[in-house]
Amino acid sequence: MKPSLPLLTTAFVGALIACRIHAPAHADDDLETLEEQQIQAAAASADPSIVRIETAGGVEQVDGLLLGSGPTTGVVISSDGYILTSSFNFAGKPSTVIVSIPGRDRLPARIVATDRLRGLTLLRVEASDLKPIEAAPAGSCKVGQTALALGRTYDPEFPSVSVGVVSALHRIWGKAIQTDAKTSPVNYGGPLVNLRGQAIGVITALAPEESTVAATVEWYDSGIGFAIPVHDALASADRLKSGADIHPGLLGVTFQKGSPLDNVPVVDRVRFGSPAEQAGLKSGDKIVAAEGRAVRRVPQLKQILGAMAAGDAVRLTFERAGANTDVTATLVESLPPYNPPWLGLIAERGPPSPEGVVVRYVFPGSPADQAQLKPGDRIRRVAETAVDHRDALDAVVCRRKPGDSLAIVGSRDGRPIEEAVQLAERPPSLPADIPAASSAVPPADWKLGRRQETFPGHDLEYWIYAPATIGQTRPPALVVFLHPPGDSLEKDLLAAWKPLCDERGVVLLAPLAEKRARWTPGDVESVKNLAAAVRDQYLVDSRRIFVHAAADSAPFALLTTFRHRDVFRGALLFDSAGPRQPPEHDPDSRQSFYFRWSRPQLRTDAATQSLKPLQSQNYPVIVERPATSDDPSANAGYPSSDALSGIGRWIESLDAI
Amino acid sequence: MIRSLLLSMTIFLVASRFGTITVARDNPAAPDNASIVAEAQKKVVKIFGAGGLSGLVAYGSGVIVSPEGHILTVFSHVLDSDVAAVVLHDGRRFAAKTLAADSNLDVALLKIDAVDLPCFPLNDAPLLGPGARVFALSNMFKVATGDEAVSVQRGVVSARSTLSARRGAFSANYKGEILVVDLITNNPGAAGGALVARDGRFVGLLGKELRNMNTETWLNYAIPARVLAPAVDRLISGRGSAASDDPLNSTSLPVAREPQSFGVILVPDVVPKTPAYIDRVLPNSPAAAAGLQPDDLVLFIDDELVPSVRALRASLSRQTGATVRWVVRRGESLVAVKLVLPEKAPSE
Repeated sequence: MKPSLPLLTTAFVGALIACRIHAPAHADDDLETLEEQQIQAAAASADPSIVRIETAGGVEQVDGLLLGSGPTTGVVISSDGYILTSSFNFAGKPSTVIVSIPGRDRLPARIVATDRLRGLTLLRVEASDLKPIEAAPAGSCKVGQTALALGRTYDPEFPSVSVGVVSALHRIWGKAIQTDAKTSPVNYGGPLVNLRGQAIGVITALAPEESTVAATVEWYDSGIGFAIPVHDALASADRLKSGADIHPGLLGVTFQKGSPLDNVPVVDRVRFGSPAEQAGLKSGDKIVAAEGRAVRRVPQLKQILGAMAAGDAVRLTFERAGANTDVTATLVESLPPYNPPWLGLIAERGPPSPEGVVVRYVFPGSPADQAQLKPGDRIRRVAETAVDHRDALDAVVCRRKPGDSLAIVGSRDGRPIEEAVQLAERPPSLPADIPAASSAVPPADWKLGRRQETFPGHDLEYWIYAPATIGQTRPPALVVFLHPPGDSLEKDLLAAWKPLCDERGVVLLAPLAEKRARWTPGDVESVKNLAAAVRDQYLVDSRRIFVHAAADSAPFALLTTFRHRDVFRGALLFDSAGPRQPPEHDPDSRQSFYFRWSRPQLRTDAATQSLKPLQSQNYPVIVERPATSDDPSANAGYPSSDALSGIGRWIESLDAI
Repeated sequence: MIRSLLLSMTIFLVASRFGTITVARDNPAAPDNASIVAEAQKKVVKIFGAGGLSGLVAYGSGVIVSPEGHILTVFSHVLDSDVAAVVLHDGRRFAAKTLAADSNLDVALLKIDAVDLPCFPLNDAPLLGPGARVFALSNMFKVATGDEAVSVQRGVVSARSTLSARRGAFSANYKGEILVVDLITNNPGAAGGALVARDGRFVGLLGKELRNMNTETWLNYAIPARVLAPAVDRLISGRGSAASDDPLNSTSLPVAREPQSFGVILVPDVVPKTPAYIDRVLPNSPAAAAGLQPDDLVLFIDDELVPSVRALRASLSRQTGATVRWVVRRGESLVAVKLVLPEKAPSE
C-alpha cells in the first residue's frame, strides 16, 4: 500500500522536529570545569608517591627562626624505600624521623645524606613496592606552563594543592625552577607537578643570597618559590645514596671589581692551595669559557659554577697574554686559610753564597731540632732545589703545608749531611733565649746615632736612631714607631730601645705627625715611603721591618701594616685589641704580630677573643701579659728597657723559617 | 497542500538554522563569573568599628545570613565598641548591634534593621576538596568604602584540615575543621568575608590573621559553612553556644589523665623539646601489661604526633576516651599498644 503523501510529509516534519529537540546539544563543559577536574586528577595521580614526614626531638629555633613542629612532606623516588625531601624539614636536627606512606602504617626513617648545594635530604625506610613519583620527561618543563605545588602537611588523606605556573628556569645560580605556586613549609619536600601529575621538580627552601636558614624561608607564599628540577634531584639522590653529603663546590678565586654591568671575569687573587692555583690560574688571567660555554661577565660564570658541587671537575678556558689555555679544576668543599709551615731555624743574614745557607740558631723542639740540625750547618739543597740564601730557602719552605716532609742536603764541618724534616705549625711562644747576630762595622758614610730630619718631598718630620753595630754582614731590623696623639714619647722610647738596638742591631725610626697630633689615614703613604727610604739607606733586612704603636695609635698602625704588606712584615702593639678583619694570609704577604697587654682592661676574655680573626687566618701571634702592680702610676708611661727582652727575641726571630 | 507543507518545512529548517525556535536546550546559558560574583558581593558587608591603634585595624568584613539583617562575622576587637557600622555594597549604612557570639568558633552575630536583604543560606554549601575553584570576597585593607562592593579574589581550595593556630603567644580557640585556601586571605580586614564556590554558593567564613602552629607560617583559611550552620541557628534563635559541642569543656574525669595514670614515668622535662622517652614502667599497670619498656620513645598518642614530653602531656589531657592508643619507637621499629585508663591510678 502506498503511503499517502500527507502522511509522509507529516512523518518527515515530525522526524525533523524530533531530531531538533533531541539533538545532542554540545555538553557545555566550560574550560573552568575541565581545568578543575584536571587539577584534581593530577593531584590524585601523584598522591600515592607523596609521603608525610613527622619528626621528634631537635631544637625549636634556628637563626632566630621559630621552627614548626608539624608534619612535612617528601616524595618517594624508588620502590625500595628511598624518599627525597627538603633539608629545611630537618633544620632543627630532629632525633627521630617517622614517615607515613599513603595506605601503609607509619615507618621509622633514616637520614641517609644531605645535598647542601640544592637543599635536599635523602631518607630511607624499610619498605618495598613503594610507588615512585613519575617524572616529567627531561626538557618538557616550559616557562608559563601550569605547575601545582603539592604537600602533605594538612591532611593525611589527600595532598594540599596550590596552583601556579612555572615562572622561570635556572634560578639561584642555575639550580632551580621558579614558580608562583605558593611554596612554604606546608609543602617543602613535596613535588611540583604538571597538569598530568608528573613531577617537574622537588619543592625546596632556597634564597638567592643564602646565608641563614631563616633567609631561605623568608619569601614563602609571596609569589616566588623554588623547586629543584626533577632529573637533577634524582641524580643528586643517586650520589647521596653513598651516604656522603654533597657540598657547594669552591674554586678559590676572586675577581677584579668592575662595574655591575661590565664585570669581566679577570682573576684578582688566587687562594693558596686552591683548585684554581693547582689548575695554574694566576692573577690577571681572564676567564673566557666554562664548561664549553662562553662567559663574558662574572654572573655568567657564577651561573655555571653555582650549580656545581665539591668534587665536580669544571673545564675552564682562560686568556693570558693573548693566548687561550684550557684547564680542568676539581672544586673543593672548603678553602682553608694559608697555614705557614715551620722548620724552626734562623739562618745567617748575609749575601748569597754558593756554599749554601748557614744555620745560626735552631729552635728547641722544632722540626729542625728533631732532624738534628745544628748551628753552623750549611744547607745546600732543599727538596731538590739548590738554595744559596735565606730567602731562597724560605721561598721553598713557605709554599708547603705543616706535615709535609722535606729532604735537606748540606754539610756539617765539611762532611755531607742529609736529613728529612717534617714541617710543623709555628708554636705561639718564643724560646727563653735567642742569641743576637754578631756585630758588624758600618760603612763610613752611614749616619749613625740619633738625629732629627725632615723627609724630603713629603713634609714629614722624623727622628731616627741607627746603632753603630750594624753593617753589610749584619742587616738591621727596622722598627717604625707611631707615637700616640699629643706626645712623641721620644725620650722614654729612646731610653728603652737604645740597649736593644745596640745589642740586636735594630734601627729605630719615629715619624712625627703634624703638630704631634693624631695620625690620619692620609699619612699612611708618607710613612711607608719613609720606611722604604730608610730601608734602602741602611740595607735593612726586608724581612724584619715592622710597625710599633701603643693604644690610641694602634688602629693607624694596623692600617699601615695591612695596606703595605710588601714593606711591613708585622706589628708590635702595646695595650691594643686585635684587628677585626685582617686581610687574607698568603705566602707572599706573611706577617707576625706581638701584643703586650699591661692594662687591666685587656686581661679579659673579650681581649683574647679579639685575637681570633688573626689566629683563624694562621698569622703568628704572640701575647705577653707582664705582671702589673696595683699602683696605676707604675703602669703609666713607656716600659723600661728590661721589659723589652721578649720583644727583642721576637725581632730576632722575625725571619725564622 | 503539499505546497503548504513544503513551505512550512522550509520555514522550519531556515528558522532552526538561525536558532529562533525555542526548543529547550540541554543546558541553559550558564551565568558567567562576573554575574556570579556580582550577586555574591551584595551579600558581603563592610564593618567599621573599634580599633586603629597598636596595629589593630578598625574595619572588617561580614556576610548577610538572613533577609532581615543578621550578619555573621568573626569575633574580634572591631566589635569592641557598643555599636559598629555596617555598610552594604550599595552604600546603605546601618548601625549594627552585636547580638551574640560563639566563643568556640570565634564568630559573632550582628543585627541591622533592614528587610529583604539578599543573603547566603548556610545549609546549601557544596562539599569542596583540594583543587576546587573558589572566590573570596572581603574588604581587605579597607579598599572599599561607601558604595563600593568588596574585593574579589580567585583561587582554589588547598586542603581540608583542622585548625591548630596562634596569634602571638595565644593559641586560637577554635580547633575544628577548616578549609585551607590557595589565596592570600590573611590580610587586615578580610576576616569575616565570604568564601564562595564557582556557582556562588556560600562555602565558608574567612578566618582571622593567625599563624599555623605546625609550620610557623601565616594561615589562609575559612571556617566551613556546615560547621557554622548549627551555631548560627542557635545564635539567631537565642540559644547561645552549646557546651556539648566543645571538646575542651568536657566534664572532669575520675582519674587524672597523666602518663603516670597509665603507669608510665617519663624522663625529666629539661629542654623545650625533650623527647618523650620512658624512664620507668610501674608494675601492675596498664603500661606494664601492654609490654612498654624503659627507653621506648613515645611518638604518637591516638595518631597525634607528640614530639616532646610537654606535647605528650597536653595530648593526653585532651583525650576523652578511656582507651588510648600509644605508638612507641623501640630501636628501629614502631610498636603500637592500647592502654585503658584504670579506675585507680597505680602507685609507685
